[in-house]
Amino acid sequence: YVRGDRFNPEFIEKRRASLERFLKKIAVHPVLQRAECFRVFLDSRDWNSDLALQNKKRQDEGRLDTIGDALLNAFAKIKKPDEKFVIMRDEVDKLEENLQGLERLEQRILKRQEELEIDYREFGGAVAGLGNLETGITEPLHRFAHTVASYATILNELSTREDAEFLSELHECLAYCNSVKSVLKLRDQKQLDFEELSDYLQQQVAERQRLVSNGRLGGSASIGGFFQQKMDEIKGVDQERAKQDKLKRVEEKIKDLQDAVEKSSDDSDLFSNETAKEYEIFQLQKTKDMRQCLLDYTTGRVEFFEKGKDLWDQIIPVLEAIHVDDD
Amino acid sequence: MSFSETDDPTISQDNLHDQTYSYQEQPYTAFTTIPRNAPGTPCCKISDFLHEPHTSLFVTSATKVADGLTASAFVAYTIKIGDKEVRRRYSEFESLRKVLCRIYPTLIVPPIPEKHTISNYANLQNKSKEDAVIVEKRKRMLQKFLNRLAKHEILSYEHIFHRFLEPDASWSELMHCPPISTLPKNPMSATLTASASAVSHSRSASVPQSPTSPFQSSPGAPTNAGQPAPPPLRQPDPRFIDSEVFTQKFSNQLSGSMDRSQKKVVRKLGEIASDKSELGATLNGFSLSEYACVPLSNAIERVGQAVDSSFMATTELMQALEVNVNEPMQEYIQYANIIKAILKFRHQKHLLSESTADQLESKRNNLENLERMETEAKRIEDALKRERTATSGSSSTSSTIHNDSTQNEGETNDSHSEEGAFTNEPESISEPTENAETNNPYARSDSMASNTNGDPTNPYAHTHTPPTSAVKRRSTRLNVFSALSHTLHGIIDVDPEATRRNNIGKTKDAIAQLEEQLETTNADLDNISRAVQADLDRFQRQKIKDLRDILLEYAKAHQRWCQKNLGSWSEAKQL
Repeated sequence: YVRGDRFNPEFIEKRRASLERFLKKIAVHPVLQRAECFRVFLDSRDWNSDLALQNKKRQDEGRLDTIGDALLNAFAKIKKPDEKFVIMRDEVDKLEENLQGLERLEQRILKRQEELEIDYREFGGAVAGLGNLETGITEPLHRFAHTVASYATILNELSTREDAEFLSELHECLAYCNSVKSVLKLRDQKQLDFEELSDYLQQQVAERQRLVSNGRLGGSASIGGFFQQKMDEIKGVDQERAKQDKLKRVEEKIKDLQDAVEKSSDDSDLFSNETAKEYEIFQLQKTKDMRQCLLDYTTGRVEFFEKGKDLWDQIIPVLEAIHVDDD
Repeated sequence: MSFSETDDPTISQDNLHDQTYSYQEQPYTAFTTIPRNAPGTPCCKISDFLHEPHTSLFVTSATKVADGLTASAFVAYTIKIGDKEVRRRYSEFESLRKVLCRIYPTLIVPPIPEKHTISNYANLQNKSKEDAVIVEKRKRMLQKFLNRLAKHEILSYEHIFHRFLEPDASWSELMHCPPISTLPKNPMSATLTASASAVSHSRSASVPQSPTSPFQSSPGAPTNAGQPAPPPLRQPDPRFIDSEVFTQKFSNQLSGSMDRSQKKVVRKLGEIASDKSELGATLNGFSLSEYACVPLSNAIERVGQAVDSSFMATTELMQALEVNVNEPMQEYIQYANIIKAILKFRHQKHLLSESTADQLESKRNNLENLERMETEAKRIEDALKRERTATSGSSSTSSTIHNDSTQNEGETNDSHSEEGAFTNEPESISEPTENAETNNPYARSDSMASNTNGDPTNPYAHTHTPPTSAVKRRSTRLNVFSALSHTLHGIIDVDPEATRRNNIGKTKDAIAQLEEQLETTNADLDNISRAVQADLDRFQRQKIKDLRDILLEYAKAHQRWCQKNLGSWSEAKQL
């Protein structure tokens, strides 16, 4: 993809296959397949305007604040990580690592295969040249050269195929892993939200306790509070009144927080459940994908070796027929 | 076009052959520089063993040996012949080869592995491992060298080769004894055929030495780039021109893209193999981490196994190509250089023949001139005698006639030219009066000497000028120079007549000598040409066979590789 050239037929074919797989995966997914924008996408004649319509609708539902939250909580860590999701996270990481290793090696092999193809062609050409010099064996040598050239061609076919299929599929799998990871992160986010809200709630509850129990305005333990108290006494503020106001405020906050915490808890739970389900789906899809990927790889190779063997089988009798008046 | 151009023996090339027998009748001999037995004569047990059918020599091991004298180590290669063993080191192989080349300058002696090749040291990462690889390669190539010698119709009967294979024969001793010590330094000067007996070295004095002996550097060495191309022949032999051109093209083709690309192929295969081994390991690791999903894990494992066996198959392919394709190609590149050197040798012999013929031609011309002067002088003398009997005052006339003749001589740049001028005297010196008259021509000779041009053409047309007019012209000159030249030439030459006769005699001798030389050289050239042609033909057959085998091995190695891979990948497919 990095090499540019978006109009290269090979690239277009690769992309087409990738996009097809993408759509198929959506279609299979129990939830996504019912998404309205998916249907619109399939039907629409003017996707851009339809998309704008969709976005507007979503905006009304106010989900865009999640981005802000995500940024805020980027560095915060969950206090009580759920083991289940930790495992998931690890698994995905490991999978990613493996896939990346495979991708890297396969790319290296493909590159060398491409160079090898060029060398084989050169050798074939050289043998043909030799055939021109050695008039006694011109015909067999030329046929040999032709065999080598054909071999280079099927090597090229194999490389192209592997690049289009195996590498692409690996790449898609990796992208899929990324998606999973971001969902997991989001789930963590929700839990984080919940935890933070809970903490906040706890704080406020503790504050109320304090207010109620020791009857003094908050923060009496600190020197600053002490001075404040003195100042207020001087000013003649009605301490009791202030306390009552403060208490009232705290109570309100607590009430809000309790609602929020409950909501967040629901969200988090919901999200976690969804995530767990999604992960299952991911696992299944991944297994299917990987198996397909490996099958494609294997099939490509088997075909290559069959063709190769044929080529070499055919040229051997031609060479053996070269007759020398032996001494 | 190939080496075996025409088998038609009756194509006689210009003045080269005097063919007493046709090519087919001539048994296969070689042109040797020292007497050798004819191939086929029984000579020793080793020879017998070599000539049994289906015997091979093996270089079985290479061991480091410490040289007791100089405390340096060298590698000794063990040659197994039958059930006996003999150890030789690389330098002894090299020296054996050099000796064979010097004895048989027309034979294509097989090459030995080179001493230091840059490409061997190019990828030195692990020195000891590379060393072992190089030693293995050398073993293979030395073994090939020995077996090629053993199969050669002539070289297999060479006793020195047999001694080399003898366990108890010390090579350094062999080197210092005859026949090796009697080898002529310069094969160009040797004139010998396999069946002849006389070794003529005496001619070497007048043989123009060739600038470089083609065998001073081992022809097994990679390049002869330093040696200049020999000058072209006036009447070259078309068969050998073709051979020379062909060899050049062949050498270029092989050592050019063919060798280069094949080396790259082998190297790339090696790289791919190591990548595959890594891939296999990664897949195996992957399979383990997917233990949760058994079918997937199995699938990955199977693919991993297929990749592993592919790695092994690719390594095998690489090694097979290296040993059965790249190394033989290397050998043939060396062969091409050897053939170039042999053709050059023949070319130089041909040059020698031509230059000898040239010398002969010029000497013959000299003789002609001298003899013509003799007859002229005689004729004039006779005329003079007749005139003298008629009139007494004709001396000036005769001298003028002499003058004319001498003036018109064409002289060569030879040192004889001076003397030649003086020999324009009548044959008979019996009359003392002649000497007085001979003063006159010296004048001419003086002017003649300063008038030397290499033009052999003899404008004898002037001899028909009427003497009377000549008298008028000459008389002034005569008076001016005569005194001077008389004293001058008096010192140099007492009796020009005798000198001239002397020269004629000498020239005749030289001609006889040159004629003999030319004959020998041409005979040699004939033999050499035939021997070279025969060996080229033999080589051509060997080469075609080897090329076929090389390509067959290539195809078979690839076929095996495809086969193996097909097996393992088909297995993996049944996921």
